Amino acid sequence: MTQPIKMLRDAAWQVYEQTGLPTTRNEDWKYTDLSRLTAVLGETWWTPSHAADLDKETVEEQSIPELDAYRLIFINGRFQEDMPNLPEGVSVVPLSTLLVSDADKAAKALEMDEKTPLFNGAIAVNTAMASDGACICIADGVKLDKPLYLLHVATSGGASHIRHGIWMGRGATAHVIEHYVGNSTDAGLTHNVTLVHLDEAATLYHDRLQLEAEKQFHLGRVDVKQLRNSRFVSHSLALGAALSRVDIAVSLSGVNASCVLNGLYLIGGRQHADHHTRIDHASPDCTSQETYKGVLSGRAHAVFNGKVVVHEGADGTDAKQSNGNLLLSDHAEVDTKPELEIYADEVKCAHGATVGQLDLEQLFYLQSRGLDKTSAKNVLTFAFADDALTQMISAPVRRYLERAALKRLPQGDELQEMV
Amino acid sequence: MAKNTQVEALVKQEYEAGFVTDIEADTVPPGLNEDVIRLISAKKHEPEWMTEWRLAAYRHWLTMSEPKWAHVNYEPVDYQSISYYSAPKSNDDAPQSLDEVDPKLLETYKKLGIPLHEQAMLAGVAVDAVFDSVSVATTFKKKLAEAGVIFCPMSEAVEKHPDLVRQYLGSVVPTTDNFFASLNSAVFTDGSFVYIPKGVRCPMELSTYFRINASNTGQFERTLIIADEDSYVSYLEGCTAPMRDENQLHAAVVELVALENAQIKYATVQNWYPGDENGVGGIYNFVTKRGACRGKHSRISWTQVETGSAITWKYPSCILIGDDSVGEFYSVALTNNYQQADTGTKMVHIGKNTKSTIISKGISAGHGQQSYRGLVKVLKGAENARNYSQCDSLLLGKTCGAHTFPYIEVKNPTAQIEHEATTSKIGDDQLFYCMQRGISEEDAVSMIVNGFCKDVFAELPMEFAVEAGKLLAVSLEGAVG
Amino acid sequence: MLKIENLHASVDGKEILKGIDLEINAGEVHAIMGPNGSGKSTLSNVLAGRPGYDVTEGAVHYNDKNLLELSPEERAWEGIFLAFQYPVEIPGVNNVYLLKAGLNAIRKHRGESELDAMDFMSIIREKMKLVDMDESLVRRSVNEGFSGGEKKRNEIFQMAVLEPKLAILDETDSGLDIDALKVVAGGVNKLRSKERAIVMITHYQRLLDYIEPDAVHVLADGRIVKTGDKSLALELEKRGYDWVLEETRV
Repeated sequence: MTQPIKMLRDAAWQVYEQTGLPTTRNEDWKYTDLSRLTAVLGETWWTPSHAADLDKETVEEQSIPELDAYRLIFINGRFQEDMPNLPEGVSVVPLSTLLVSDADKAAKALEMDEKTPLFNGAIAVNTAMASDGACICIADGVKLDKPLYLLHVATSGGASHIRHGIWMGRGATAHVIEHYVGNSTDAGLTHNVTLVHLDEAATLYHDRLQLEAEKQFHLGRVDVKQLRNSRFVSHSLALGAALSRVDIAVSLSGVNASCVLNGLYLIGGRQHADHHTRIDHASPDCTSQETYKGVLSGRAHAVFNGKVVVHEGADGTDAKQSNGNLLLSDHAEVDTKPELEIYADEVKCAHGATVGQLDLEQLFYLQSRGLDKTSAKNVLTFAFADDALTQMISAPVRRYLERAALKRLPQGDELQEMV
Repeated sequence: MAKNTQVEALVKQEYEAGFVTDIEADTVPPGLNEDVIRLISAKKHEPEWMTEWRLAAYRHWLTMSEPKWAHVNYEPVDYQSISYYSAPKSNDDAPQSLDEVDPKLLETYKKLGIPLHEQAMLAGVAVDAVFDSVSVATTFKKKLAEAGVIFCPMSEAVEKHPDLVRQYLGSVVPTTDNFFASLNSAVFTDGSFVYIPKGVRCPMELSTYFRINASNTGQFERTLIIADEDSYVSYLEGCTAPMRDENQLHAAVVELVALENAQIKYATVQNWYPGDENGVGGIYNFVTKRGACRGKHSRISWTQVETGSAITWKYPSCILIGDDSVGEFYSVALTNNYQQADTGTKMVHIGKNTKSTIISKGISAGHGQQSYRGLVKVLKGAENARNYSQCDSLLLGKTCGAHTFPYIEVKNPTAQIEHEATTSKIGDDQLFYCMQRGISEEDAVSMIVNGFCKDVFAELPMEFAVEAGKLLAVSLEGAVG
Repeated sequence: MLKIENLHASVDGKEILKGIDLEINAGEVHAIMGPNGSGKSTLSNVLAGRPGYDVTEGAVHYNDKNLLELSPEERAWEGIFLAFQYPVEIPGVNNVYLLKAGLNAIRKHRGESELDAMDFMSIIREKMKLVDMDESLVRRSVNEGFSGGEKKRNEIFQMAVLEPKLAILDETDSGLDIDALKVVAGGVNKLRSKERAIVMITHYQRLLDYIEPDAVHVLADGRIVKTGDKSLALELEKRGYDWVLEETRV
């Protein structure tokens, strides 16, 4: 390891030693108790997983079907030497390579700002330990023709510390899919931080699909800086893992930047899924729009926290946020907190949160058309969840998610034809 | 806001005049320790259990630290520099007639349309010597006694109705509840006690206003209202005019208990001194208000119009224990100049078919900072709980802030919870429309602000609603243009 | 009553009105017609004093007063009424309350006594009949949830209550079906009087079938390019605006 990287890593580790993992006394972690992580994985929860190979068949099995994309495969957090042929203006270098070949760039990818919203000790660990990831640079004006598909498979216990970086040049357009799956029967941790930088008028569609194996823990963070006229469209899904927590922090720091943050958590059993989003309107005339939907069964516990901060001078802000939740069982639990902090007056801000049941009039309508009550309910439940996916741009991705969602709903098989 | 400076001047003047002369014997030196608490208890001739109750609260308070989570900033309060007991003000210190009262203050009263004898009472004129209020109070007390309603100062209740006090005091807001509630439990000097017996509909709106000593109950007020089965009471706290008050810190506790089929409506219009236009001075209003709907079909409504105080920290809450019980919270809060308010409610659904409604309207002007902080919590057994929350903010100007922190925690699938919040400013087109119809800009703003608050004012008793509207207009003066 | 001289006005630095001359006397009804973007609505907004409309040149005299010096509400007090093209919704503010406050402000300005609730309501009832206004609409918040037709009807109802000297109806016919148009026009006709001047701004001739104007002006590119009587409107209906524009293009 080169000297600057070592210093960076040591400093980050010190931050972790001082702050530790967040506890429920921390307002941002009030409803998510990471002692469940340390109880299962121990105090050395961060211990890296082992490298592994995966046969082609399993990889195909885990991949999104019918998706035509530039695929990069990470097994237990390690990039598999199989770089697709990328078009001109698109550069993807594994972090593991950069760490050896270009310390400056690697340091940039490992950047960590302790003052950033929702910062916590786990992020410091990621900086200290991240061994691989994709460092993606899209040159000015380049419009990527196919999605960049980052498939992550966990095959055994241990922690995978992954750091991705996406730098989009002026006017560049791309679609990046981060897909997290696993076939491990042991408990492990996927720990990912993705840094996104959008230069002027760049557009990034970012799908973050978490369908981990049932014992897996998952900590994720997406940190987005947006310059003027840029656009960020995010879909974050939590369908898997025993406990997952994903933080998305977007800073709209140029005039007329816009972001869409959509998400869906559909969990059951004893699953726990926590989504925290934070949108900083730091420049005038920016737009943010957020829709998160949750469907909970079994003893599942979901947490949603969406915070929108409109800074002084951010006139012309238009921020809309909504979070809807359906509880399908007596033991499911949801804690939601949509927050607004506003320091400017030329703003249009609205948020809403609901926890509730299906619309009775709609239910009656379906029943009056011949559906039995249970099917009618399932149809409406699916429609409720699907609302979070309507802005996805890739049909194969959406289809894949809808099928996965249906599998998790009661009588979902009967509804497959809805997709 | 020149008149507020005048109020302050008036207040200061009285403060100096009052304390230098003959108070020594009746004022405890600043500072807080167990001896001071024993002394307060002794001065009020309290029984042993009450003294012990206070001491327990005090000992717990010592282990606590001041809450920091509210979205407010202020200079720390030095709890050892406060004098925790002084005997009620003698009428000799007060102005002897309205002629001695600052004309600016009287002008404000006039704008609010307050009758002359009420003005005198509000300005602290020694009313009973000048006006015929004693007889008013007497008639009033007689009527209540006939109905069996107990309405008296808390200290009197401790003496005359110890069983009721002992059973209910601290049963809704425990002495260990929070920093300010613990402090209040240790040192409270007075407040109101209300008991409505079974099946009684209180024959009139109760108000602290009617109790002659009400305006001097001090900074650690304690109120306890018990509505027994099938009873009804409506209680009005505060008044719609600037209060004469020299206390920097107010840490009141209000506890409401509603038994089966009982209903309590509690309305507050708070207009303490908000500090001057530079944010100097003003009251810190740190209040714990909570109601317990203990019985089936019980109902508690909080309505508040908060336009005063430099800092307001207040979350009137409902614990909905009884099946089919209902909790309501209607709030208008206005922050102008450098005022800060962190206010909202907690609705805890425990019983089946419990319902709650939250309507919060925040208006921020000048450098005002305002936060709605609310919790809707549905526990596992609360089948068919319903909540509807609506939190709207209106911003007047570029330097103010409006924030919303709603917590929603649901553990029952049959719950139906809806929260909506919007933030807006008065549209230029709305203003122009009104002006085109011949209404001045200031009146137009006041009209639109009143329209914005309409849902809440509708919950206030008629005459209060009218005055609350006027109060908003007065509080907004200087915020426009 | 109203004398407009060489009026130039711009919005966001762009000149819209490029020298309007117009004189209107009490008792007259004038129609101002013109293609989209000709400046019709700008003229009505300038007369009513909407902020954002800058008068760069010219003068407007109104009953010996310099109209441009007056604030919007002062113009209302002086008897100018604008029926908005897009009546705005004001949640929480009751129609009746708005009108009472407005009418009393106007009366006060005229040195008349303020009306009490009883007298005011009897006026309201009388005027409601004039435009066939539903009581429930009158009692609701200003225009909130009103249909397009209801909003327009409400504008004429407000005009009836406020009894202006000069009423400017900005595209009051747009968005109305024929029945609603008849009702609104009927209301306006009942409000015609010797003391009152009415300016109708419209794109189409059909309103003039129901309200007969004393004069018709064609506004194009910020100027009045032709003035005539009712027959001019009929000719416009038949031939469109192009011929006028060609004829006047020198």
